[in-house]
Formats: sequence, C-alpha cells, structure tokens
Amino acid sequence: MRTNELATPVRTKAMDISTSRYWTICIVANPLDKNCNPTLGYKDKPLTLAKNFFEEEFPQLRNQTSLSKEENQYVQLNLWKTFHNQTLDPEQRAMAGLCLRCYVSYKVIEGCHILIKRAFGKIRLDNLLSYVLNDDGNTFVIVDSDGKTQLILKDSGNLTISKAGKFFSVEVLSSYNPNLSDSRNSESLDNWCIRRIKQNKDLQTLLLEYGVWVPSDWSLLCREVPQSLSGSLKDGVTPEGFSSANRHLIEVFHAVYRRDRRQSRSRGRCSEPTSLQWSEMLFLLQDKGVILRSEKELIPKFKEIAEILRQDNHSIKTGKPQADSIDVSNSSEENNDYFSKLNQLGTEDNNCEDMEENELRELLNRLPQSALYNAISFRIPQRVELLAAKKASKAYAEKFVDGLRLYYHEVNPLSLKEIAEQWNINWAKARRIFQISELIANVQCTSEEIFISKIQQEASQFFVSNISGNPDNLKGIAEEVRSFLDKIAFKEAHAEIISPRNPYKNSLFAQILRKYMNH
Amino acid sequence: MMTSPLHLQKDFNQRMKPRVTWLEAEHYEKAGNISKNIDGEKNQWKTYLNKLAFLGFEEWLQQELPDIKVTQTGVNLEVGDFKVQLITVDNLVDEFVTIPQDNITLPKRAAHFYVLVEVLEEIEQLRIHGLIRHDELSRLQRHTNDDGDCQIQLSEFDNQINNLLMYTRFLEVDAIPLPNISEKVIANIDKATDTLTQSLVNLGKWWSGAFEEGWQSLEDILTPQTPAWGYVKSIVRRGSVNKRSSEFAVRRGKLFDFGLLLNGQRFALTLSMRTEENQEIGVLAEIRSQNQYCLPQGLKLKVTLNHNTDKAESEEKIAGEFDQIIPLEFSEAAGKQFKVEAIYQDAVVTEEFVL
Repeated sequence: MRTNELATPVRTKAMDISTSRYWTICIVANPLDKNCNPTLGYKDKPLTLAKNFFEEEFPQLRNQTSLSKEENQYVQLNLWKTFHNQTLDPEQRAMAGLCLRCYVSYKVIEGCHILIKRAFGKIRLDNLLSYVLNDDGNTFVIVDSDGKTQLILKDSGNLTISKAGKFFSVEVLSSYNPNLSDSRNSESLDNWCIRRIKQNKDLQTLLLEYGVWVPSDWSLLCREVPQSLSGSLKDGVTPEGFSSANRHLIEVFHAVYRRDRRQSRSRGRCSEPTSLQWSEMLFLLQDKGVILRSEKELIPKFKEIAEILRQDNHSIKTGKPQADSIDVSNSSEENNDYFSKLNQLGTEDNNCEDMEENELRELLNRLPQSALYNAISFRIPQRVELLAAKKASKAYAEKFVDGLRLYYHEVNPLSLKEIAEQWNINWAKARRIFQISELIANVQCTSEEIFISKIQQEASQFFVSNISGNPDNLKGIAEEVRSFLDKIAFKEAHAEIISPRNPYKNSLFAQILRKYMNH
Repeated sequence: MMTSPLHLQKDFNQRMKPRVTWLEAEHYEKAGNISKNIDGEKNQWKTYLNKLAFLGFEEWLQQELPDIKVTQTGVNLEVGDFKVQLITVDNLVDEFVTIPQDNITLPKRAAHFYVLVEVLEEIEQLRIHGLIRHDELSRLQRHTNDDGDCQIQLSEFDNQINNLLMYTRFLEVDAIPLPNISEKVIANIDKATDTLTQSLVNLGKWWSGAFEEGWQSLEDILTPQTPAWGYVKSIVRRGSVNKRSSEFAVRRGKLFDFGLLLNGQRFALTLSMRTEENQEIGVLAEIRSQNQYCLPQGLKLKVTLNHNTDKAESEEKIAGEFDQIIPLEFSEAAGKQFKVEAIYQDAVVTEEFVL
C-alpha cells in the first residue's frame, strides 16, 4: 500500500484550509521506500521560518488550525501584496513568497493528478513531479521588478539571479494577478496554479515522451465526431448530452475556427478563439435557431462537448491497436546477460525436424554486435543529414553527435533537458532534434534488415522457407528476428531512455553506440 | 504479479508506442494550398489532414527506405513495385476504420499495403499505427456500412510497422496478388475522364440492350459497396420506395469528373428508366460520388426537358454539406428530348438524351 511517512496537514472542515499549508511545503520524495514499495512520490516538509513569519504576520490566526474561505483569501492577498511590493525589505518579501510557495506546492500535486487522470494512468505521479515540484523551500527568492526574473536572496543579503533554473512555484506566483480592482473577475490562486500546470511545456513534452498527448479542448472540437457518437446525433437522441444543439455548436465551430486554422496554416497548440471568431460563431448559431448572447454563454457549452469527446479518447485509453500484440512478460525475471540468452536460444530445440529453426538461431547468435554496429553507422549519419536538410534543425546537425555523446555518456550522462539548457533551446525542441526513441526504432529496423538479408544469403538447403514469395513466412522470420533483437538490446534501450531516475544507459544498444561515437 | 511500477512501464512502452514522425511547416503550407481548391469546410479539413498525413508519411518512408524510390501515383504511394495506401484518421475513438471498397477492389486503386496513420494536427505529429496487407484484407470477412465503406477492426492491423519495410524490401511483388487491370477497365477509365459528350444518347435503344460508349451497368462503375451505391441499397430497404425502385427496368451510369477543379474526384451520372401507366417513361437521374463519402457542397444537378424547344422547362437540385446523392425524377413521353447537366462552380458536364 502507498503510505506517506510524514503527517499530512490536518483538515478540519471540508471547505476549510489547514493553516499549516502556509508553512509546510510538499517536496519530491523517493518513489520507492526501503522495502521497494511505491510511495506517494512526495512528502511534507514543515518550515520553521515560514511558520514564524506567518504567525508574526497574522497573530490573530496563530492559534487556528484551519482557515475559512474568507480568512484564506485575506491571508493569500496580503502575502501576495507583500511578495510583490518592491518597496519592502527583500527578506520580508521572500518570506511572504515562501509561505505562498508552501501553499502552491499542494496545488501542484493536485494539478499533476489531473494530468495523470487525463493520461489514463500511462504515467506515474513521480514522473511529473520532478518537473514542477522543484522547490524544496530552502532558498529565499523574490521576483525582480520586471515581474519575471527570479532573484535569490543570499545569507549575506546579496541578490543573485537564479542559475539553477527557475522554481515553478515562484513562476506561478510571479505570473499570478489576483485582479485586485475587481474581485468578481479575479481568478483564484488555486485555479491559476492548475492552469499553469496544464499549460506547462515541460509537462506536455514529458507526456508526449510517453506517447500521451492531452489535446486542448479546441483541438478536440476540430475533429469529426466519432461514429460511436454521431449515430446518436443523427437520430436526435441525446445520450451523453449530445443534443442537436451540440451538433450545431460543432458545425459552427468547424465553419469558423477550423476554417481559420487551416487557412492561416496555424500550427501548435490551438489557441482560444478570438472575439471575431466568437461573434461569427454566435451569428451562425442564430441562423440555426440557437440563440446565445455572448461568448460567456458559449464557452462553457464548448467545454462541455470537449469533455465528452475527451472521455471517449480510446487512443489514449488503450493505445489500440497496439494493445494486444506483445506478450506481457515478467520483466523482473529477465536478466540482461545476453550470452545466457543466446545459449538458451541455441539449446532450446535440438530436434532434427527443426533444422531450419536451429539454423536460424545459429545465424541470430553470430550476428548481433556487427549488425548493430552497421545499423548505427548507417543511421547516425543519415540523421545528421536529415537535420541539415531542414530549416528548423539545420543549426543542430553538426552538434547532433556531440549531444548524443552527452546523453549516452558513460560516466556523467545528461538528460535531454540538460542538453537543451546547454544549447540554449527549450526541451521540446531538443526532443524534436534528438528523437531518441525514433533513433532506436530506426537502428532496430535496420538491424532487422541486416539480419534478414543475411538469412537470405547464408541459409543452406535446410532452409526451405520461401522468404521472398510468401509474406506470412517473411513475417514469421521477421518476428523471430525482432524478438531476439528486442531481448538482447532494444527492449532495454527503449526502457532506459524513459527512466528519469537512472540516467546511465548500458543496454547493448548504448554500448555499441558509444563504441561507434568513440571511433 | 509484478510489483515494481518501473517494470510495468517497460512493458507498456514496448507495446503501445507507434512510430512517430513530425510534420513540418512546409507540410502545413502544402496541405493548406491543396485543400484550398476543395469545396465545403468539411471536405477541406479532411483533405488538409489527408495531405498532411500523406506528405509526412511519404517523407518518413523515404527515410526508412533510402534506396527504394517512393513516388505518389493516384491514391497510392508507389514504393518500388509495391503500392502503399494510407488510412488517415484524427483519432482512434471508434474500434474500426473504414476504407472505400473501391480502394480494395478496383485495380487502379488497390494497394498491397494499407497503413493506418493518425494525424495529430495540434502537436505536428504523425503516428504510424499499423498495416494490413491486401491478401489479409481479402481473407477477412469484411463489414460494409450503409455508405459502402469497408470497416476494418483495429485489431486486424499488424502493429509492427517494421514489417512494412521488410515486405517492401524482401518480398517479390507477386507474393501479394492484386486485382488485375483488364483492358476493359482501362478503356472505361479512359472514357470516364472524357467529360464532355456532345452526341445525343438514345434511351429508346437502351430497352433492347444497346448502350452508347461509356454507359455501363452500375455494377461495373459502382461496385456493390461503393459509397453512394449504398444509398440505392438503403432505398431498397425502405418499403414503398423499394417497389418503385425495383421497377426501374433499365439502369446505366457514366463516370465523369471536373478535372483539376475537384482534384480529379470522380462522379457517376446514372439514369434509370421504367414505363409508367400513362405510356410515359419515368426517368430517375442521379449524381453520386464514386470515391468520396459526400458530394461536394454546391454541386448541382439540372434537368431541362425539351431543351431544344421554346417549351423548355428545367428543375435542379443542389448538394448540401452532407449529401451523398442528388436525385431528380420526372416523366416524359417517348421521343422527347432532355438535357442533364452536372454543374460545379463554372464547370458544366452535359449529357443530352432522347427518350
């Protein structure tokens, strides 16, 4: 069972907020405990300094274990004002910020939970946390007058620009504006933080790394309604809230937003419709007899439809058609000593009738290292060439192998994110330049080719299968070759690039790649 | 069972990951330009996504097979001697995908391999999910929907896209037989692009089985599962129309297109005849798309009776956004003339008849 060793802040009433949230920060914890059981992935860390500051600032609340909604708002607003008040003493500002950072840390976890839910469990909480829960509360930080630059307050009282990267919690605070003049329109810090999580580029990139794409509402609305829902649309039946009015909404969305997106060749995350687009949609809806007064009435309706479409997103849920192909093997029993595996393969079957099978196995055993090396020596220069041929990646073609060397470094490997920082580009871009997972797939594919052509060349008279004349035979042999290569190199090669806690890579693929790069 | 989540993850990633390729600015630009010429937002968007998929996949495939020439021919990609066709989707919510029956059975359109790709327009990604071979498709018990599209369950696809590369590299092209291109079909296709016919079609002779060139049985031009042909079946299923429809003793159709205006999209003009009680002849003229789900919005069918006289009267119908067919029915005495026009923007395809 998942346990949390440290005490969670106490909550009294459902709506009330525990006071300790302002002086207890959530930090990343080891995902496995001593007995290798999974933990929550985070833990609470009480901060005495924050507690003292809080009690000095709000003496009237010092004996309360929880805050009402109003008290909470009052506390938040005052801390926020202090944090942003350039006229105040930096230490005081940093302390107010620290209390707010504690508060935000809980919301960060909540936001990550939302993303995990949307990714249908394809990714674990601790994978996400390290990117946004990067504040351990040990540093005093204020924000410069530009409202962006994070400055670290040293013990000496000096201020330095943060070099180790930005704290996500401080980013949330510095970009947050409680809209003091109009309390009705103000967005709560809670909502703001969740929004920043959902929009976070690093998290989106990470999710993509796991094959999880969390589409924006607008992008979902651009799709054709899947048949499983459109049938009910035609009949005018309204299951799942899909009424004919909803159909009209989708139609006008396509007519306006989708048209513009295509015509302007927009790329990337779908942005919120413009006011011009809203008014055109409202106008078209009027024609269809759907009367809505403003975009404020329209937005929630679109969000509702998007949510229905999102629920139905099987591609994320099951990853079909991939789901049922490879046997679920018990990976813990596998060891990575490939020689022992070769022996197993070689002795499994000594039946004379299976000469063909044996011959294939024998061939498989002889080739791997050289085949992999050849495949790598073909694919790496090809990749460099491809990078050089594209405008967007031209500048990185020459550096590609250097970057790869850093990523697969024997002693001190860097993550893509770290390489991106070194190269002064964002992580998503680095990911697109390197496409490590595709590179592995490329090498794997070329290795398969090399194997199969060797089999074709070297197979003796025992080898009766007609490879070139029968697709099923070819498929069978390709599968055998593939599963062999998977076992000795590629399964591990794929696994090691998504393990965030183990940057050191030692699959047979990684070993041979290093060999290639050192030559 | 395993306890460590790390191990579970290894398995999951091995199983779930499709091959991924990125879409570039150039692809968006090209796809945008091509889709501009299509009519109706729905079709434009569809073309846009199809083109994105096509361009991205073509590039990916050429990278995977640098020594084999990859070129576009019609609906397919030619990869050496093999033909590869894309099935493009923007989501995999449904448990199946559809392929127009034509694209499997017609020699000109059939491919050796059908590859399922998902376009993620928003994140500029193409996911290549799997493939199915033509021989596997032929062996399948295929379900067709009302529109005549063939439904293929996702589970039928081979998710090892590497197999596509192995096939194209190591197989002989005859290992996967495709429908033959007979001379007759070639002749028909050539006729189909002949969009303007000046001569009068003598419907009177149709009763005795004499048909002008280019006018073929519907089975020839619309295979039983062709999208819009399904409509006829659905009419047949509906009681009252059933009777009348089956009474049409003579039915023939002719293929035509609007050239580049609609990217060579092909349509069938069909004429069905039966005798009416008052000695008149009942005629049903229809336009359906031969290879698309819907007709382009704004496509017009116009019938003008006695068009060469001052008593000419005409009737017309325009395709809406989701129409699959435009029908117009009328009765006229034998010996009378009429004109049928298919009109799209400023292009007109005309056929003249005498009853």
